[in-house]
Amino acid sequence: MTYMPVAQNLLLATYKGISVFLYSGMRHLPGYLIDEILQLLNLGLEILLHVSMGFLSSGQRHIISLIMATIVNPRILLFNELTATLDPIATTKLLTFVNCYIKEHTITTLMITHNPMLARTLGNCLWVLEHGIKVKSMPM
Amino acid sequence: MLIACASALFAYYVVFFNLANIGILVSALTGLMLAELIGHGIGINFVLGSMMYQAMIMTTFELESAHEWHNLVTAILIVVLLAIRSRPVTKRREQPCWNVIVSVWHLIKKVFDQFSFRVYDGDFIVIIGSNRAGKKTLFYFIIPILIA
Repeated sequence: MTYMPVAQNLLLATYKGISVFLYSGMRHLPGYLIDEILQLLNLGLEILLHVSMGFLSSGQRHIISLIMATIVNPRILLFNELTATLDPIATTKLLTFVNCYIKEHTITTLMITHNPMLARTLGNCLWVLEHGIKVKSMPM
Repeated sequence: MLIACASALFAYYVVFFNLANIGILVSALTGLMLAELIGHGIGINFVLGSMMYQAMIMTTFELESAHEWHNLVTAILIVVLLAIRSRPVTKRREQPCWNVIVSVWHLIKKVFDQFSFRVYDGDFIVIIGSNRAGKKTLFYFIIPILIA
């Protein structure tokens, strides 16, 4: 939600799948978990915790939405062009984080990308699609 | 409910009709139901509802002085109101655009007719392909399954 600060967005993400009254979720300040993840990313997002999402760049929003997706320890992650809007430094940091996080929590992941190097670095299986047909499937 | 109670009190003072504490509550509730029947939204409807209810009760008092009749009229009124309220509202059914659905279904069937896959826990699958290869469409298929 663009009018809400980053911290509140992250906090809302922690309540994903839990039935909780919205106001009770908004009252508390973000806990240790959010700070921990932001420091882990090391992208300088700690200072943006109280800035509205609307003021962030698309790359920063992209990173925040990734954190929001991973904050609840999902069983499966679907990435669509994960690093498309990011600069090279942020890309490297984000990919390192994603790689560590996925391996640590053993999360099943499907990622769409146009970058073959990225596919080779991260994935353990590669699918090549063409006109809706899986023309190639190879382990990596 | 507060507005309904206030309206009932207002009606009580305007019509000079004597009701006990519980009577005010019953009057408020019935007034609330009548108000909802009169129209949507808050405001004058509650006052009108309360006044209508008290007018009905006053009529019963004018006709018959026994308290049983008053209670009977209240009970009948509430039952009638509940019956009216519980009637199903006929909504205009939105007709799906079948032509579009059928054509999209044929397109999807054509595209993913020969597509099957198996994913194990902890797999990291990277999907690559040219534009319009169906990468995102594959996600559109997977997401509802995951949600269900």
